[in-house]
Amino acid sequence: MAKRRKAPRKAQQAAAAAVSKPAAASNPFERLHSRKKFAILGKRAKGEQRPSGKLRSEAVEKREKTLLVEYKQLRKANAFIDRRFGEDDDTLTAEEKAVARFQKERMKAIGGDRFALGDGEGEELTHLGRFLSEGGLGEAPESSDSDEDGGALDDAVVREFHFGGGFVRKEGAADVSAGSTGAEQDPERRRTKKEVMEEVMAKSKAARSAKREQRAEDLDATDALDAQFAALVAQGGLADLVRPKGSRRDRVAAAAAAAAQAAEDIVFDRARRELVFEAKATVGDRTHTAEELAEAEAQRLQALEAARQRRMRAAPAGVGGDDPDDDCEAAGDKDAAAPAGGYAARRHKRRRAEAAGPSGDALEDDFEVSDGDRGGSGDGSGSEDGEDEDTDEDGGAATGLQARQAARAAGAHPLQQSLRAASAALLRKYGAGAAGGGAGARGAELGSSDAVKASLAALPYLLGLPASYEEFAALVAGRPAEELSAAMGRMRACNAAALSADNRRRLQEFYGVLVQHFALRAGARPLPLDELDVLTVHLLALTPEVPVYAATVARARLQRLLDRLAAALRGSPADGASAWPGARGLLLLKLWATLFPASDRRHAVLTPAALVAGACLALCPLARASDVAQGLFLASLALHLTAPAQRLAPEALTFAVFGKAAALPELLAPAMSALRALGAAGLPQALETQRRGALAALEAAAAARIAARRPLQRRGATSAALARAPAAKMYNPRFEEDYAAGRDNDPDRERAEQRRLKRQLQKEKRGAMRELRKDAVFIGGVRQAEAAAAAAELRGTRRANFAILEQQEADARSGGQGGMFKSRKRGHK
Amino acid sequence: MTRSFSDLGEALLQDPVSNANNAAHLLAAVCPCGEAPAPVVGDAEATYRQWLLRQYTALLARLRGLIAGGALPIVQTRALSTLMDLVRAEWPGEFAAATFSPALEAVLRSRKAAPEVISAFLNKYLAYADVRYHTLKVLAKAAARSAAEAAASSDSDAAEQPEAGRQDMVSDADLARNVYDRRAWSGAWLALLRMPLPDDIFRKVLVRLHADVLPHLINPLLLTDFLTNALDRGGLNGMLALHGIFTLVTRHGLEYPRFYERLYQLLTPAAFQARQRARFFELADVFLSSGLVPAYTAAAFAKRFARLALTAPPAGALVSIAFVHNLLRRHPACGVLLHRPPRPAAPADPNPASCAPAGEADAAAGPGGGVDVYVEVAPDPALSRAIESSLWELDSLRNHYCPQVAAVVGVLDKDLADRKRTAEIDLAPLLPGSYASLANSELTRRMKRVPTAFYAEPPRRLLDVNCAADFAGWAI
Repeated sequence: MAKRRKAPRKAQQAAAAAVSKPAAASNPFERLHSRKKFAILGKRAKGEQRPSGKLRSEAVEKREKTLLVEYKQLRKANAFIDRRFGEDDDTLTAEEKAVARFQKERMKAIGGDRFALGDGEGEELTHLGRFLSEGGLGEAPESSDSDEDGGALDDAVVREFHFGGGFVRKEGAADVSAGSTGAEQDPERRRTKKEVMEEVMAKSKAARSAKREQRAEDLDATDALDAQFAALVAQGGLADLVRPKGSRRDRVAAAAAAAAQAAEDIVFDRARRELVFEAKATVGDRTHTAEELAEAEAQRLQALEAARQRRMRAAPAGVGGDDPDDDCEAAGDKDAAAPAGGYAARRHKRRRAEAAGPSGDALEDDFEVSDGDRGGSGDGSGSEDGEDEDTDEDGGAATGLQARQAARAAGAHPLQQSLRAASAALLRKYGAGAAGGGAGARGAELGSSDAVKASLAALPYLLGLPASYEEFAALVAGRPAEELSAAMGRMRACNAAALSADNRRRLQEFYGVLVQHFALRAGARPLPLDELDVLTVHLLALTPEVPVYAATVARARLQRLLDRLAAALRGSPADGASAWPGARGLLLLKLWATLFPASDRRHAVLTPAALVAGACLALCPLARASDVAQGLFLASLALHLTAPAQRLAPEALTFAVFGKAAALPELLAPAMSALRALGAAGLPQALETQRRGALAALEAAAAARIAARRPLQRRGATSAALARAPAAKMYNPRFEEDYAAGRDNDPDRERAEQRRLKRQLQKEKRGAMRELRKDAVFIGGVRQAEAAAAAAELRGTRRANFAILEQQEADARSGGQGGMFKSRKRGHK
Repeated sequence: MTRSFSDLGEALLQDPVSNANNAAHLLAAVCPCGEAPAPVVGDAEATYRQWLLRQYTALLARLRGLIAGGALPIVQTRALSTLMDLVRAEWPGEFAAATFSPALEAVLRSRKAAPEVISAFLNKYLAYADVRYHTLKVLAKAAARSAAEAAASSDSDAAEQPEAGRQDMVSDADLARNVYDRRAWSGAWLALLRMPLPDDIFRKVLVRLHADVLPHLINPLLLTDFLTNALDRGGLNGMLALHGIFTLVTRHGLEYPRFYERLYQLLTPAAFQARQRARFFELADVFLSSGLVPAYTAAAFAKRFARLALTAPPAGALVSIAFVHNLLRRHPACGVLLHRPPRPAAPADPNPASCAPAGEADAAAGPGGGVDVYVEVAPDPALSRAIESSLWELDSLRNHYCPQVAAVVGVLDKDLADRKRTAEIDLAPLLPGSYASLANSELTRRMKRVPTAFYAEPPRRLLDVNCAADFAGWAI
């Protein structure tokens, strides 16, 4: 233990001595250190060992210099201020003090006139780094002065020497200066021309000899290589690198034999040979995009319309070709690719004329010019423009025109009839392939009679979308379902969303028109179910194109239904109006159930629709027979809405839906009791049989469910998980990134600042009090020392006085012998 | 003429003795029915006094007759003010209760008394303490008499309806200021509540009873009879009466052990259809918020609410499920309704005969456990055996067609014993819900995307063959 303690102390002392010898702990108390035993967070950690003893002595020294001085000056009127050199600085030695004093003395002596020039000793003017008194500087001008042509030389002198010669640039100045400086610095390096030439010649000689040596070496190396090669050839080492003549056939045979031995090679060869017979991949038709399909459909309709117009206006015999199929197709294809004008248009026109025969265009033009009411198409620029405008007029609800068309369509000319039949067949043919035309084709299939085909043909093929419902109603009023379907199909095909950016918005309007038409027709009596069917088909096809708009329309109608229901329920029952939604509402609900997926858990349309149906079922009173029918239909509709996802609709307690519901027996209890009660009512035979059957089915289902179900268990909570002991609670440690001890984390910064200032004030106050206390102790010590000194002095004086007195007394007693009685002394001993 | 009458009256007031004959003129004008002069007995002054007394009585009767007889409202109001003046002036410094009572009864019992009279009485005179006190006395007496009459003739008298209505208007907590007033006020209320009240007034009384009446009564426990009778009516009346009883139990020390039984009986499917269902379920929530309800009772309530949710409209189902959730969270012992840990496989019973008498219940809880032992018709929660059951109803409601209902059921999947991660469902936003509000919330919901139906083979008709199964019985 002692050893361990000793060693560091020794080391410390040594270190201290090494650092500074005079500071090496003259005061043994200054070695005192307060050593830290524990690391405490938040404690001052700067300098692990505080030299407390040293600090204490420093504090005492400081007080001696300040407080003690003041104390000594206390109650004194004058003060002695020592202005002597170094008297207030203890670090200076006496010698240094003397030096400083001497320096000051000297400074005072020479510091009289700062700008006075000296008497010339040691101070001399210079030019170009040379003293003016040196001879070299003045020689050149003097020598030039003595020359005859002094003017030119004067110039040179001025250029060379005046103002240091630095202002005028001289040619060869660098050489001169280099030469001059070189001469000044090292006179040995200046060589004569001969020396230089000799050196150059020596150098070239050495280079030539080196080149010669190199050439000789190269020659030697080549000779050596030649000798080696000859030796190699002589030994036959290169024989295998060279193919001798006539050895080729043998090598192929050997390779074939080796390949035959390798089994995998055989397989590979077979595969390679088989590949020859395999069918090569051919380029198929590209899959068409939706836009292309829509474009094709629109073009097909355009062609058909053109053909129809032509047929309509054409002379009855021999015009328009015997083969309408080919004609239409050809016309359609060519129209699609027709250029707008110029030479290309002319070429195109000629080609067309050649293909169609001598009849086509001329007749068309004649007819158009002769037809009075088609003023817009008289420009003769081409048939297509006129056709387009015609179509627009057709779309614009010209019912008179339609009537004329119908009248023409009713014409019983055999050629006309055959044309129509052919066009219908064409429609069917295309309808099977194209998406948009499917409905029209289906319409044609449904009504297979000739009359239907005739009226179908009477509809214009190019139909614009109606701008308002009135327009649409005027177009389709009085038409059978097949024509309605065809009209809608053509409208959709001509204005497919893929054809133009604007079409989507117009399709939305069209969708609203269709829904309105549906609602109006659903309210009609007798119910035109076939029209509703075709409307459903087209709405079904149209809804995916404008889903959000469809939902918005449906929601607006649902809101209206809801408002109507609320108003009807609020009104008194005596009003007569039934609260039930009526055929229109019911069929609209069914339409939405068809258009949107009923299996979604939450759907923008069907969820409110189901709520509306439920509200009707739960709240509407049954006042008459029609109400019962509506209620039953709504119950079926609720079933229809909830069946796909097996949801629970308490309003329409129907059996088939809830096959998997856990609470099936409880759900069915009211229905079962109602059925049992009905048994007592005495029903007709057929109903009684049905009742028995239903009751038996219900009871069987309830019993099966009871047998199948188990007490509930929470999802995810298995028995194993429950059996496990509860896990110990874990608390996540909370780390503060910028933690600082003692920092106030008060979110109110102002309050925190206030508190900090208060703390600081307290600290300062404590420090001041501590200082004052220590000052008092110090002054107390000084006073005590003074008192002790005074007492000691007093004591000393007293002792001296007593000594004198005793001396005198002794002298008196001894009779002036001064205590030098021998006898007494002896006697004493 | 009126001028001369007023002159006569003023002269009479200034010098009653010398102008005594003016009184005869005035009385003749007020009471046109002439009276036969009585035989003169004794001296003239006594005769005069008797005559004057008769005339005075006749005047009072005439004034009451004016009010009860349905004169013009202004005349009725004047008659009332005259009567009240007479009440004040009859005996100086005293309240003439004998004059006041018949006058007030005339006002109260008459069906022709104008509303202005009532309001004038309330505004002008009821501020006086003596009027107030005697009014309450008269009210108590009148109510007691009506109740007795009603008891005698079992069918309620139609003439009492307006009276009851007016008494209800008089009932004001301000009347019970000091102890005498309070006593009179309590007596009047108790007498009133003993009367057979019509439905609307009954509901009004019940709504205000616990807040405005009960705290001010001398002895609130006397209301118990009234409240238990009201409880038998069921519906919202029953729930309101239960609120009164709840106040009595919690504040006034009433013992009512059948409280939760009665509450249990009030929960019927009809409650979801009622117009005031919000208030009804609000009160039910107040009653069921206690954590000291025994677990079997809470389980019975949870089961009852679950059963109701099966057949209730979506808004009602939401409320019911919220009730179930809150009940299960308040009573962790009811957790078995949602999660019944499987029993450890019982060792084979060595004595099968001992198993036999356990009977049906054991068989039910045995292999399948699918039989619901909950007795729905039992009136007492203790007898319903709900704690042995499971909430299969909620499992079915997961598939409710209304997505909000299905979502609320999903909340019950959490472990309700975990107090930190679960919170009670706030009933307040759910209570006013209806079909219209739910449908409106769905209709105004923002559309993120609208899926459309997809068919492998698109239907060609509105009522297609594919949906024929759903539309069974309809010729498609």
